[in-house]
Parts: sequence; structure tokens; C-alpha cells
Amino acid sequence: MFKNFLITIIRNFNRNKFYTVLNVVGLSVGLVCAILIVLFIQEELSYDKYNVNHKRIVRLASDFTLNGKRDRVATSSMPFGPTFKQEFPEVEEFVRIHGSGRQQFRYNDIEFYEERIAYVDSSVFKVFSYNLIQGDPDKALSEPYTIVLNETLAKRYFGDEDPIGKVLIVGENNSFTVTGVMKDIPRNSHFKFRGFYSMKTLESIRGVEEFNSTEPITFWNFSNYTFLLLKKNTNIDALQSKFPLYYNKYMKSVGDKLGVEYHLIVQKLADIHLKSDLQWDAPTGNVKYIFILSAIAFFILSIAGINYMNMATARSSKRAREVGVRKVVGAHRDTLIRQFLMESLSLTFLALMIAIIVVELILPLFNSLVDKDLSLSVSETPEILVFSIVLALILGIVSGSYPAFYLSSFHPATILKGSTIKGKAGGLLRKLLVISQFTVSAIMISGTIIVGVQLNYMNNKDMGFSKEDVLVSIVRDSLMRTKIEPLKDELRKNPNINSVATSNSLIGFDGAKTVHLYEGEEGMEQYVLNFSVIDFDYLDMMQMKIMQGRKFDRKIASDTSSAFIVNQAAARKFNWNENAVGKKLQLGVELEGEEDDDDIMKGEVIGVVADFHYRPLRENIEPINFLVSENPSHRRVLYVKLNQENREESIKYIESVWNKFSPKMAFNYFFLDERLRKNYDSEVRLTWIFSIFSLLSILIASLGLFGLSSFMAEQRNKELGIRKVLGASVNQLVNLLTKEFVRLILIANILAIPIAYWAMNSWLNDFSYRIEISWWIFFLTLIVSLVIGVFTVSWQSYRAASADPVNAIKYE
Amino acid sequence: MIKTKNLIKIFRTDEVETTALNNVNLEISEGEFVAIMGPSGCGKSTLLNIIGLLDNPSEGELHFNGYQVENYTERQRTNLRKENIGFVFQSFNLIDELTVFENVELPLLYMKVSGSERRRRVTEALERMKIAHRAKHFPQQLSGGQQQRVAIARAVISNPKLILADEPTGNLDSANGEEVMNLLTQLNEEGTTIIMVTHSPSDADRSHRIIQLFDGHVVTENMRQKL
Repeated sequence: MFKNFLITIIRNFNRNKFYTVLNVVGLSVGLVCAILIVLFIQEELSYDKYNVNHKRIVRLASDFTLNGKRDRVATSSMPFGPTFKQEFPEVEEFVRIHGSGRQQFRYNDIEFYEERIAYVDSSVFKVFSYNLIQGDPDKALSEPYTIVLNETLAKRYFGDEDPIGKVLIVGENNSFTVTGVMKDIPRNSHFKFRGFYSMKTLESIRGVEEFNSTEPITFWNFSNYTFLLLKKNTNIDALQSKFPLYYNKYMKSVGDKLGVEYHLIVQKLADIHLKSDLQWDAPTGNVKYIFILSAIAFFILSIAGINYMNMATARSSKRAREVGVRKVVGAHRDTLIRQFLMESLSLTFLALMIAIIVVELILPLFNSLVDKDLSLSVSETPEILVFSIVLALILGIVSGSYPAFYLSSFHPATILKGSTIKGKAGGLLRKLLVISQFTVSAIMISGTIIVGVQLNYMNNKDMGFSKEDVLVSIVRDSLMRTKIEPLKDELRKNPNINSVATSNSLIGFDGAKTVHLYEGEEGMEQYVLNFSVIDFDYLDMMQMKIMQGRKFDRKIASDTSSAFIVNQAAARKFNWNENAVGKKLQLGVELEGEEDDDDIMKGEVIGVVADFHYRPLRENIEPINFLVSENPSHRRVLYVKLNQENREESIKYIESVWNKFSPKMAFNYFFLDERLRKNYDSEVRLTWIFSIFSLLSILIASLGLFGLSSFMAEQRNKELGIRKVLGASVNQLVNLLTKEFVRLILIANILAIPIAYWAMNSWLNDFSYRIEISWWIFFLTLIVSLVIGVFTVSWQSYRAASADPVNAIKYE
Repeated sequence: MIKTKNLIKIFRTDEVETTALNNVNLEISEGEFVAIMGPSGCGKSTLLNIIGLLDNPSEGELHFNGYQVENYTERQRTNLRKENIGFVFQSFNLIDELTVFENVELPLLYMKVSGSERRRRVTEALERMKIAHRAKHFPQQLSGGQQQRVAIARAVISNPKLILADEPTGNLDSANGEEVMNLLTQLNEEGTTIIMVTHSPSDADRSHRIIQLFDGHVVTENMRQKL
């Protein structure tokens, strides 16, 4: 019997090549989408789980509130690790990770700027499952000035030489001995370090005593990440509930003095990538996208399944006689249902095989678009293959079941009498299915437009400062920082350079915040305020508007010691409003025994600058404070505003000047607007994902529409012939055939509007600065789906309508 | 073998109600060859479909081999049908996707007959219908007469006690029609009961009895001398 089924199925496919191809293509495309999305989701869910002990690894993070302002940061302080191990028997091991900026690495003639190298405790190889290919995991990072590189870096500097024992020059003049080479950290890690300096290095730089100090104040400098490896079966909640005792012992004295409320956050390692929303964290994923993508995969597969149902039932009259004959000669209904299910299953499995091949082929392209390194292989991702098979099985059964039940319900007496089944019974259902397909497509199209418009908005929004034509270079050479003013003068000599400025942090990205005292209604009050140390040229170069008071002035000596300029948000926050000038402000607070702290600066506000976006547009504009300092260590970021003309030459000029001032450290630069755009990488990726999948969903829906319209044209062949004989024009006939589908697409678009509006609005709500969803987006969606739909349908309609009527009416 | 009692069949659509059979009382014995005649739309095919358990009567009784079957479930009727009844249609009703051999084999598949036994019986039936040389061909590659011979082979493959033929020569030229009638007559002589709907008086001449239907009623029953 099985053989008989198979023979019928194969011969059926063969006889109806057109519909079989449409179906297989539709199902394949659907499965390609689903497999890609599943690969993507699976990778997102796999973050950090390659660590054998990931269930026992937690990160300590901080949640503190000062004067009503709450900050939740991913970091903790240096003494946390050792004291936690000392105080809590549940802690088996700790590892601290302390970031370090980009540094120039040099080995003989080979030099590059390297980033993502961090200071870590030597226990890093005990806690995390990083694979050390060379070197001893217990000793590799136990000495100062030792470094472990990943394979990529080791290859870059040492090629085929043995890296162990070789000396790398880091930065200006620090010699690090390579003591280990580790496999590159897998991409599915929330942090992706390429090498580690030993923490002992930091200890020797700061001095053993100071570094290991457990003075209360040291607990409040949240400068590093702390990971704990807990003993087996440790209850994290129980551990956290013991924290108040620890707090009282180590942190309370300073906390009370500052008036801070502190809560410890304990995060499971594997939760960080998708669930962490803390500041100062490595870039994380977004669990929302997992839901969005799952929904897209589901909808695209539904569209493909619906196509199958639609075409199978529409073409039922062709299969009716077979059903009748089989029933007459003794087939039970369940036998027929089995037969039709087998048919849909064979089709989906054929589609699955094609889909797997297609996925293999397009995976590199997809990877580059979504910035991933996904792979489809039996050895690496066997579960994906199993999942794909299960998916095809479900798709086959679900999409095959309706046709199977429908077809097997035919009465042989009716069919075999010669009267044909008109396929009318499925008419309403078919319309509903077409509507639902186009609803999904319309949601996808409008989603794509909305994501694109928001992205465009963010890229083009007036940030409140001038970001165009600004070349940025990070000054790492400390000697050069002391000579920055002569450097600026030298640069300004070039007519193509408009202005030059420096600051301590890169505008639009990083920044520092610290406790400030501001003049409130009842004396000085505390607030954790962002601040940026700039020079006299900065505000002019950024074209920031002064709303009150004045800019910093070189001629006024006190401007470098006791003057502040705040933004409007700060003036509002401190209730100064229009009278901010002259108000007292203090950066940093005195603590007991540290009366003459160098980091404290007292002064008053001399001006208010218009609000500008110094953080990505997802975030609100927070209060910020500017000050000018003579201290060269704050000259970290060099901004050079260029003319539009002679770019190449200007850059060459800057490089030559740079090399004169700092022959050892290579010149390295980027453009501010390009870098700011990178803030929206995840939105760019989402736009790509949306575009690709909405394109594919429309493709599948159109395939279905194409099949359905050809079938309908075929079925109405005789009617068209008679109409033509009676004088109908080709246009009138095309209209007749197309009208129905246009109506369905219209209905689908109307249904899509509220769903798309709701979904996209909730996505936009994540942005502090966002577009409003306006009617033209839906109008455009309607036009796009109508154009595609009508084009698809009228092709077949035109063919049917322009055929010679004689052929249509001469036989019955 | 077949007995109907006050058989009524009414077709209903939204607007129209058509009485296809109106109080039909019939008795057909084993081994008989009965022809049903009458003008188009008089209910001939409806009667045949009800006797063949392809359709249900609206009212009345249907007895098959002594069992009252008009209320049988779908499954019971299928079982009864596949063991006792073979069908021959005017339009042959072969499955286009299957070869001659596979078409004839189909009833045996549903009866779960073993592979070797199926091969033996199908080959035998095809030889008997003089169509064995076409076993691997598809229906569209055959002439009408050849197709009908295949259909008869399929109808007899399960050794049914009853063959229902609905205008078996309707789509055939006279020579092919003659040949088909010879086959049916031969089957009847070997003991198979045959009920045949026909428009052709010469075909009807082959039967033992002609039942004339008109507007759903049995008008006359003519017993004929067996030739």
C-alpha cells in the first residue's frame, strides 16, 4: 500500500509540475526562514553556556540610589572578590576583570592598536572554560607584566614562532611577557576578550598595599567586573540574603556618609546576554528580538503552509475522481487521509532538503548581515537538524491535514456521476487564508518601513552638536598630552582644518559620573552627575548653543579652576531654571581623612549650554557638567574639524604633525558621525532582518496567489470564453479576475494596521527619541502589497483573458 | 440477493427538492442479469448507486444477501462493498496516475492481499480481458474499449458476487461495446449477478429482465427469455 501511495504521489507531482514547483518553492523558502531564525535564536540563547560551570558562575553588580537618582551598573569594586571569598563559604573562586582601553602593541616591526584586552585574576582559567593551548593555567597570569593572548593575536605578532616567553611592548614602554596562548573566546560570549594582562600588573602599578586595601571607601569604586564561581548546589537567593551583614561590615560607614542606598545584584552568567539591562555592561542581546523573530518564523511558516492548503483544496476537483474510485474499490476514509498526509509530508521533506542546501549557501551572507557566525552542521548543531525535521513534520501534517480531511470527505456517488466538484466549498476558507497571508505580509512590510524610518531619524536627528566632518583620534601617549596645545596650533596652520579641540571622553559615547554637590534650596545637596573635562575650543567646535551666561574664556584665569557650564537638563534638575548662572557647584565630595582631595573642584556655574545628545537616542538627555582643566591627563580625545575639500591631504597633514609629536605611537583616527552611527548597529541589523524576512514572506504569499489565480483562471476558462464571445474586452476580463484579489488585499491591510501599530509602537517605546507612526506608512504598505498582488494575479489573468475563446468553449 | 422496500430518494438543494426515486420495490436474485432502462433523469443511476452502497436512501429498506443495510455506517458499507460488489462506469473512472496493472491491483491492496497473490490474480484478470500486453501503460494511452476492459478487470478482480454497470458501453463504438457486453454476459454465465443501467435496447437484450423507470417509479418489469 505504501508503494502505491508513493507511486501516486510521485506521478501526481510529475503531472502537476507547475503547482508542485510553486508549493515546494514556497515551503522551502518558509523553511529557510525558519531555519535561519532558529539558528539565530539558538545562538542568542547559547551565550556563555559553553562554560562548563556556567550554572555556578554569577556576576556581582551594583544598584545604588543617591538623592533619588538610581543607577544600576554591571560593575562592582576591587575588594568584592577577595572579601566575598573570605566571608562566604559558598564562594569557591572569584575572578575580577578590569578593562583597559585600546593600546598599541609592538613586537619588533609589527605594531597594531589592540582593544578588548583586560586585567584579570589568574583564577580566570579556573572559573571560565577558556582553552589554554600553551602555558600553564595555574601560573600563566600569576606574575606582574605577563600576558595571555588568543590565537589570533599570537599569530598576528609571532606568526609561526613560539610566543611563550616573547616580550610584547604595550603602550609607550611597558614590556609584557607572553605566558600563554588561549583559543579565541567563542563568539557567543557576552564579553569577547582577545587577551588578558595579569591582575598582578595592576597591583604593581598601584602598589600592593593600595591595591589590596579594604578601606571602606575602596568598596565604593565600582570599577571592575566581579565573577564568582559558587560551590555546587549553592542557593543564590540565600547567598544574597546574607549580603546585609557584609554590607554592614565593609560598606556601611561610607554609605551612610554619602546617603546612598545600595543593593547587590547577583546575575547568573548565562542570563547576562539576554536579560541584563545594566549600565557599563558589555553590549548585550535583546530578549524582545527573540520574541519578534520567533513570531516572524511562525508567521512565515504559516504563510507557506497556507499556500499548500490553498492550492491543494483549490485543485480538489482534479483529485476528486481518484478519491471516488479509491472509495468505490474499497478504500476507507482513514486510508485516504493517510495517503494525502503522506503526500504533504513528502512535499515538505523535499522542501526541507532544498531548504538545508539553500541555508548552507546563504549562511555566509546572512552572517555578515546580522553580524553572527552561525553554522549548520551535524556535528556542531545536531539539535538544529533534529528541530528542522520536527518542524517539517509539523508543517507537513498541519498543512496537509485540512486538504486530507476535505478531499477524503467526497462522496463517490456524486463525483463519479460525472458532476465536478467546483472547489466552491473551500471558497470562503480560501479567502480567509489569502487574507491572513497578506495581513502577515502587510505587518512585515510596515514593520520594515517603521524600523527604517526610525533608523534614518536617529542617524539624521540634530544631536545638538555638530558631528559632521569631525576627525577623532585618541591620544594615548602621555607625553603628547602635555604638548597638546602646540599640537593644536600646528594643526590649525593648515587652511583645511577649521578647528581643533580636546576632551577627556568621547562625545556621544563614554563619560564619567561622580558625586557632585549643587546649590539647592536648603544648602548644598548631593547628586551623581555626568561630567566632561573639555578645553576652551570644545564648545565652539561642537557648535553648542549657550542659553545662559557665557562660554569658557582663556583670558579668565578662574575658568580653569572654579567655573562650570551645565546643560539645560541640569539647570532644570537642580531647579535653577533660568537663574543657573552664579549657582554653586562642587565636583566630588570630601570624605573623612581626605580633606584636601585633589579630585575635588569647587566653583560656580558660568553658563548653560543647550541640551544635546551625548548618549544614544535610546536614552534621555541627562544632566551634565563641563569644566576646563589644565591637567594634561584629561586631553584624551582629540577632535579635528575638517573642510569638506581636500580630505585626503588634510588627513595626511594631521598624520605628519602627529608623528612629529609622537613618533612612537601610530596615528589612528575615525570620523565622529560614522562612529555615532555604530551606536545603532543593532537597529541596522533589525532593519536587515525585517527586510529580508518581509521580502521572503511576500514572496511566499505571492507564490500562493500566483498558483491560486492561475487555478481560478483555469477554472473560469469557459466563463471567460463565453464572455469574450459576447463582447468582453481583455481588460474587462482581467479586471473581473483581479477585482476579487484586490478586495482581499485591501481587507488584509486594514486588519494589519492595528496589529502593526501596536507591535511597532511598543518597539519604538524603547527609544526616548522616536518617530510617530503616521498614516503614510500604512498607505505605502497598501500600495506595495497591491502592486505586488495585482502584478502577480494579472499575469495569469491576462493570459487567460487573451486566450482564443474557441478553445475554451468548444469542449465540456 | 437484493431487495428494496419502498425506496425513496430525495435530493435537496437550497431551492429545489427533487424526488429521484419514489417507492421503488425490487427483488433481484443471485445469478440474474438485470437491465435498468428509462429516460435521462428518471433515477436509474441513483438506484444503482444506492444498491451499490455509494449513496443512502432517504427512506425505505435495502436488503443485501438477507441483511438490512440501509443504516450501515460508512465503514460497514465500505467493507461490504469491497468484498461483494464490482463497479463498471460509463466513463471508465480509471486513476490516471496509475498503470493498467496498478489500477486493477487497487481493490486487492485495500483487501490486504499479499503481493505474490496480487500479481497472480491481476495477471490472470488482464489475460482474461485480453489486455495483459498493456499492463504497463497508463489509461490515457489506451482506447476507450481497452480502458473499459481494464475497468471490468478491476471490477472482477475481487471475485464479487455482484457487478453494477452504469452505461458500460455509453462511451464506446459499437464494436468495442459489443466486446464489453460479451464480457459481461460471460461473467453472468459464470454466476455473477449483474445489474446494468443502459440506454441501449440491444445491450438490454442481453439481460434476463428489464426494469423500466420513469420519474422515479418502476413502470414495467419485463422478464426475458434467456438466450
